[in-house]
Amino acid sequence: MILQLISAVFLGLLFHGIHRKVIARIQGRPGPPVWQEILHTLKFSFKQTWIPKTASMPLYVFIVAVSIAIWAGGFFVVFSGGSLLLLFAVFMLHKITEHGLGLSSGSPYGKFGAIRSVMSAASEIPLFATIAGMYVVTGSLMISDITRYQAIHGPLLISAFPMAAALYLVILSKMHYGPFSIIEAKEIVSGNLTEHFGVWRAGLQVAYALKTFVLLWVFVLLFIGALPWWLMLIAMLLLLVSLSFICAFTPMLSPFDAVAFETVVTGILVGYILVLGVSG
Amino acid sequence: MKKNTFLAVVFISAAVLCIAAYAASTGACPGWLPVVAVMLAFPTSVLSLFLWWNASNTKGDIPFTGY
Amino acid sequence: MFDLPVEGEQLFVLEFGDIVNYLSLYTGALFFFAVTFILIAIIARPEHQTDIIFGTDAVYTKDIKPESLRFQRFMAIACGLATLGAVSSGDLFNFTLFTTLIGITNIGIVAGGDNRYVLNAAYNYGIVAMVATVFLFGGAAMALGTCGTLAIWELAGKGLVPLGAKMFLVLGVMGEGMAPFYIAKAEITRAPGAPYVLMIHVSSLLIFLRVIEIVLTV
Repeated sequence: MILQLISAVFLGLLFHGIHRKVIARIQGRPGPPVWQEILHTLKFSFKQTWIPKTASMPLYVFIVAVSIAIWAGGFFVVFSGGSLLLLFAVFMLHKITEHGLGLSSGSPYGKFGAIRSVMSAASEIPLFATIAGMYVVTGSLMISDITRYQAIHGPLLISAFPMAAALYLVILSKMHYGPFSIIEAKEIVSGNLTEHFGVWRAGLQVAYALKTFVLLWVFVLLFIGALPWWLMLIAMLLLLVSLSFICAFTPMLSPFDAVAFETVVTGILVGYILVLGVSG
Repeated sequence: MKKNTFLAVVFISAAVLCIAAYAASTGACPGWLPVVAVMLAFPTSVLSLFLWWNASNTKGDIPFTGY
Repeated sequence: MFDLPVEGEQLFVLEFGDIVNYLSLYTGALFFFAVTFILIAIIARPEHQTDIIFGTDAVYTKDIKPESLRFQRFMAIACGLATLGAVSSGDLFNFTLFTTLIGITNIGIVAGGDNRYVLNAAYNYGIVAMVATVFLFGGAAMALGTCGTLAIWELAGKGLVPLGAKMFLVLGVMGEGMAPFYIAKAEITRAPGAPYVLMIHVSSLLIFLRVIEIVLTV
């Protein structure tokens, strides 16, 4: 149980490193070694750390712990084949921690990152809610039931393609250097992460590694089905490389365009689910 | 906090993690209870571990250079 | 005890006649999260915001005393308690009542700032929240009219509540849960009090999560 959690952290960090490497290779740069993000986390954890005088204590420290805790919870939800609704809740709580990270320091950059996080929540969250359409298709929201359904009826990637596209877009919006990662855009320094340095940043690296691992894992489980662990890792890697390609080729959208694009996709999906619910 | 305090927190939370993992493997309690314990103890252990090996670097005064 | 493959196992049940308040794995997680953020709102000190003097390297820090935000803190704690009620109630009418209470306390948190733009945002949000109560209570009334009961325990898994009532409930919660966008507008004008402002976000997202559970259950 603990071993899986810790390996998920390291694999998630490795995935982040591979993500950076793929982007770099596509853009014709040598790029960092794939284990760079693991080194980054260790480096941050050794850096001098204190709490800014302007920060809201204990919110400033607490919010880092909450980030790690919710994704550890998300990991076990997927691990035990629990309710998809609970994973949706984890995703929502992640938006709260993003907002809290930016607010707690008193820095204007952090605050703007937090505001962008609230605005993008308007489009990302309905997108994730279309997963409720899984209930219409499979009659259950338990991940274990959904994988069992796929063992009988074949992968949902084909029969419920629009929902797979929605979750794909959700994962894309959470990737670093992606077209939708407006909350950590460089024009606002590092957005909501600006004031969390040293140990706090290392803690956030751990949380985000878990997040990447959980989101990739749940996509493969929901739309391809249960696989042996090595095949699962290969499927997750392929999914990650496809995301890295998109991140490498698209510039970061402006906040307005990012929200508008996701809202249009959500509108189409809601129509699809209503049709599915009424007809099927 | 002192370096030894962080180390003590690391040990306590690691013990909680081990007990939770053991309880989950034997099925001694309902499945959600070890998960709650891990959710509380895992961030504590990670952050206090980082703060523990960091603590020796930060002895003495840190000049406040920000803002 | 109803057993739907939606939200995990049931953990706790408190019966008041035909109204059964319950915590499942899902609502229990939401409850736990709300409790932690209430504790944070109680103990946390507000942040001191730094501002840059535009076009220069100079920064200055605002001095914000916790006493000046006492009303916001009270409202944040009240909002947290209303959230606890909304995630744990097993009755559609109680849920709508608590959701409305969340709307009212959110107006209070936003209106705690003494900035003209912040008050304007609170006023706009207030109108949206008032309109949303019509849909909320309308949804509950339609459910009562068609099913004769409002207890989620009774309605679970039967699919009796009409689609219109469910859509009214979701619309109402969307109106009440619109608060983060108005507070974001207020935050651009640098409204202080991070732990209290965060409570707006927590309560709004938690009622969204709860209404999805209700819509899928009843």
